[in-house]
Amino acid sequence: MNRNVPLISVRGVTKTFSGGLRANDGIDIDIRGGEIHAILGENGAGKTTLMNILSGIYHADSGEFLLRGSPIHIRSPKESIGHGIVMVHQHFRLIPPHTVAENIVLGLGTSFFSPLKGIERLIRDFSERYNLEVNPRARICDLSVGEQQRVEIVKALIRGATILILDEPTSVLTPQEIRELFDILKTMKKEGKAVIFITHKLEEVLQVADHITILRKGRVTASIPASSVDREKRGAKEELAKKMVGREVILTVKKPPVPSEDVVLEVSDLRILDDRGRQTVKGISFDVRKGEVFGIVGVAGNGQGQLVEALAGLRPLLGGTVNIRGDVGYIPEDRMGMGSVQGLTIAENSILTQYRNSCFAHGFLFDLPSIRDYAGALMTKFSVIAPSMHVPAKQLSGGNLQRLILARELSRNTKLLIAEQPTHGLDVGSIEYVWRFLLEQRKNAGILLVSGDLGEVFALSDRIGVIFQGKLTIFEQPFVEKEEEIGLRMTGL
Amino acid sequence: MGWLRIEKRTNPSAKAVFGVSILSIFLAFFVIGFIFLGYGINPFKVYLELFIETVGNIYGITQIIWQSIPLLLCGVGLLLAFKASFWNIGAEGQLLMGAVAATWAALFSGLPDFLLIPAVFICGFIGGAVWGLLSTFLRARFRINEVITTLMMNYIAMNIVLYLIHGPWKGEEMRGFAYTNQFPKAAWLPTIGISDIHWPTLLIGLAAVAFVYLIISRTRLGYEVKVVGQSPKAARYAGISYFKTIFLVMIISGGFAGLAGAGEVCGVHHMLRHPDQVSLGYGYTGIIVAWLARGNPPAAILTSLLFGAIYAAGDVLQLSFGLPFQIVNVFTGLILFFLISSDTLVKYRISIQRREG
Amino acid sequence: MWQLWVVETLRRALAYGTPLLLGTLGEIYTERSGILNLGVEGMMILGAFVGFITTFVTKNPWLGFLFGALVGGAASLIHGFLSINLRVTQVVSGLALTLFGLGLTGVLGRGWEGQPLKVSLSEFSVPFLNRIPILGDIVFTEQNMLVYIGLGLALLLWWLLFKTSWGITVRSVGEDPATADALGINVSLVRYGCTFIGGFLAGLGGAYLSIVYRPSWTQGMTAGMGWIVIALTIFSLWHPLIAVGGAYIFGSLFYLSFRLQPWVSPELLTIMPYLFTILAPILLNANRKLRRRMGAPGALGLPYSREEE
Repeated sequence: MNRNVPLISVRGVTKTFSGGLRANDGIDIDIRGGEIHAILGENGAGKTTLMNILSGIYHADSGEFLLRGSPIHIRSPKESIGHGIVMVHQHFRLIPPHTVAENIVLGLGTSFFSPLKGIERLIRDFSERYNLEVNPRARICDLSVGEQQRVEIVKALIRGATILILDEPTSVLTPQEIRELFDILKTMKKEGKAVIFITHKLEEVLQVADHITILRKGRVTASIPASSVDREKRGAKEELAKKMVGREVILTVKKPPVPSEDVVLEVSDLRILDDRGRQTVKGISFDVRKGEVFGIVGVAGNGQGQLVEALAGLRPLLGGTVNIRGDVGYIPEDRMGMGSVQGLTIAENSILTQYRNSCFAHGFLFDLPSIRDYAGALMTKFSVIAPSMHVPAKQLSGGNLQRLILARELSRNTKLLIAEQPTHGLDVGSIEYVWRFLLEQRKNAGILLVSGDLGEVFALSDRIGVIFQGKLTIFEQPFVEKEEEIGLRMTGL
Repeated sequence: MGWLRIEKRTNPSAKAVFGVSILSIFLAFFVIGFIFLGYGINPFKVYLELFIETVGNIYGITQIIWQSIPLLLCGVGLLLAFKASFWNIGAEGQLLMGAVAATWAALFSGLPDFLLIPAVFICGFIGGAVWGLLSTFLRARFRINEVITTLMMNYIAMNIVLYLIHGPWKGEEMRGFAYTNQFPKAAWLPTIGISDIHWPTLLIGLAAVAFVYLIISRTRLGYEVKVVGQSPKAARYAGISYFKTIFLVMIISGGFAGLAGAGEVCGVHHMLRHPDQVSLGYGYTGIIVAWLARGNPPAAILTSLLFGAIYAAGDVLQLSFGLPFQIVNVFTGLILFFLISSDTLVKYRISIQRREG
Repeated sequence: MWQLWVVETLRRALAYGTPLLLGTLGEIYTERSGILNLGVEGMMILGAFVGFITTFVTKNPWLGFLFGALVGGAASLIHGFLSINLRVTQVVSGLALTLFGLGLTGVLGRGWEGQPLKVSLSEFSVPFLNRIPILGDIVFTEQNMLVYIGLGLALLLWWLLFKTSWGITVRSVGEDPATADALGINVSLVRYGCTFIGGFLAGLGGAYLSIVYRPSWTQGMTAGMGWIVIALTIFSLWHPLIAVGGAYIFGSLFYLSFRLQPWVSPELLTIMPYLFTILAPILLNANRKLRRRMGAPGALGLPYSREEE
């Protein structure tokens, strides 16, 4: 294969969204076949936008694409697939109630009659070839996240993908599954395919990429072969991080311990059913003390969701006991759908969990001035930036919204604070902010942190509980030697 | 979408919303003109006549106000229900059951005369509220979609009224039509001068607007309604009981429709008669009155007057031009079509875009 | 003796249930593609009116069926345009369509009320098949052609929806249009097509009402049947074959509300179908297994747009 001509080239691609956000600004990248090309950048750098343009979902305002040196148009997903470009999205584009075969055959243009027979054989062939175990008859909703991702990959390969784009593929995988994925990618590499790997995780990039492109604020700030990064040199990761965010990023957190013996949460032999009547929490016991951060880490779907709901009072217990010494503040994972009401104003959102409080009332009616004062104080103290408190919450950026919710729940000064995926989808600046305020709140409360991000849990927690299939394994400090074991526990080994 | 590029506008201005609403109304009038043409009538003549007969003289104006009374009551109640995202399509049935309850109070309760007027309104409210709560209960207990239950209850209510006036409550029959006996004079609502405006109901309607406005803007219930209506997940998070909120909302919404029904039988007809005469589709038109008011209770006064005018126009069309009253529904349907289409113009910026390359 | 009565009721149930079946089959397709069309009542009444006039004038019921169906389809395209291109709230758009349809037919149809239709469909039996004990007496004895067409359509539409690649496309568009779009499927086209099918069949069902069921025209003669169709779509779990059973159950209710009139007050009998529409989900809800399957197409009623701002 001709290694000199890139498989696909992007030249001068620019995309501006309504509202003025320039997501992509004159991007030039060469992607070569037989390579794993990592595109690195923090949230909002423009990676997903660029990939959406490549896969025909968005249209670039200007720029051009070259396939093996000749210019091409990408005007729709269909056209993109026609050129061999297939994207596996971060949130899988699969239809849960349908089977694997039905998902894969969609839009494939195979026979009208009995379309599933032929496709089943094809699926099995591909699975063998790439060592991807996939059962064509299984329903997507019954598959694990790792299995679903494999379906997405088979779906792409069957469509003749020569350029496979993976958007944050490891964010939902266990360490074991991540290793398996990297093996699959290396197999594809050998076949001459190009794999574009979008991520914000430096460690993975250094593990698997052949070439690294860094995006920051819509521009390419670096594009280097991975071999030129000296992993042994101290600070290699920090240097890449600087190119991503443009300033010194402290990847570790200074955490003065706050001693206390007050137990704020005591959970004993907790058992909980999910909506379908299955027992997802199978006898968990732990406690959380004031002044500490107890971090529960695990891959999504192992019972954390139900555990948090039960502790927040939103789900009944099947068995066991929960003792909470006081109120519970809850920062939910879903900040737009649950933690706030997007259509209500910032002021109205600021009292969402406390609207019954008599300090906001004047008899039967609301005391509007007191609400306004409260909201104003929150916004100032927690740096929530918005045109005014009377605009709807949907105008807030992710970081600002999270700060509002944080403000609201922290100001309640509850004894127990539950933070669920608190930095999910936030930029580095907001992440630092959230971490700082959570740690500060240890003065007043015990904090239960529930997260799938092992790095976050390591950085913040005093003690760690690994949750797997409804059971908890607790680890005390120091964590450094136990990293491998904790990772394995997350997969049940 | 290929050639049509639709982008969301961040902040539709109130002026744009208002202007676009007016435009929809004019467009509807324009299209209706063709129907008039089809009947061999000069549309401009019609418009002129309509203008003179409705807005152009005192009697016409009183007719508009009179027609708008049940629309206002139904509309403002529905406004609250829609804020909670509870699709109450059953205002028609709630109105009718309010009328039934008021009829019972007027004819069969045996109350002394001076209590009759308060009684008919109280009973009307209860009748409508209970009828509305049945749908709420079905939603709460069995998770049955309220669009279907409230709709079906409309038809059931209509048939209950028919059953009553043909059966146990049948009065003297004249000209082959069935209705109950006339209500005793003590149950007749007073009117303003020689107009048809039964002012107690009108006052209640205006009070209802103030009441709903207060609830929405200043009370905990109003806050709960807003949260529940926009995000059931957030409502759970905030500890708001969806069903308690909906129950209260439907008591109010159904109750107001019931009050409208009481107003109709006690202020207009002074008897219970065929459901199509007691309610000229007020429950359905009320939906559009509420929709057009865009969640703003005082605006319901304006929108109910608008449709009151359309109803009054329907009367004129019927008497002067021989067109069936159903033309009002054509108007309403068209206005609604243009309204929601123009909603898109306001909320989005539409431009025709050439594909690059 | 009562067995004969039951068989006769069931036999008549097919004829009475056919307009419901047609409407439901259509709405199932529309909703399977993700569009909620509450304008069925309006489309049915338009079909009834146009079907009646066409048959009256041309003396050919089949032309009546055709034009009634086409008018229903045309009306549905208005809802389609509003829902798919302009992305309005589908509940309101459907309601507007119903009001408009009821109003327009009420206005235009005034002169036609009370005129009897002298041409209609004749009933016939299918030889051989009508000798099958019980089933033959019910299904293949003395039924009009449209009953058979209805049954045939149910089978055809079931097969299309579940056994062909086109069916997978439709169902995927209704569950997750974003995914279908990313795979190159023209979501708008599929939705338009299914909406049209819905309108076409609703119009056909309406024409059946005015040509066969009660050969005449009265304003508002659909009497809420369009709304029952919408309920029936949900009860059939969006499955064409279950819709057959559901439609015929209602058909028997309608028939009974006629037959029992000498003994029970007519108004109370008229309530039966509406009451049943409310009670049926209560009964269904009681069965746990059914309750878990009672899921609507994932994207039902939600407008879809490719570019998210």
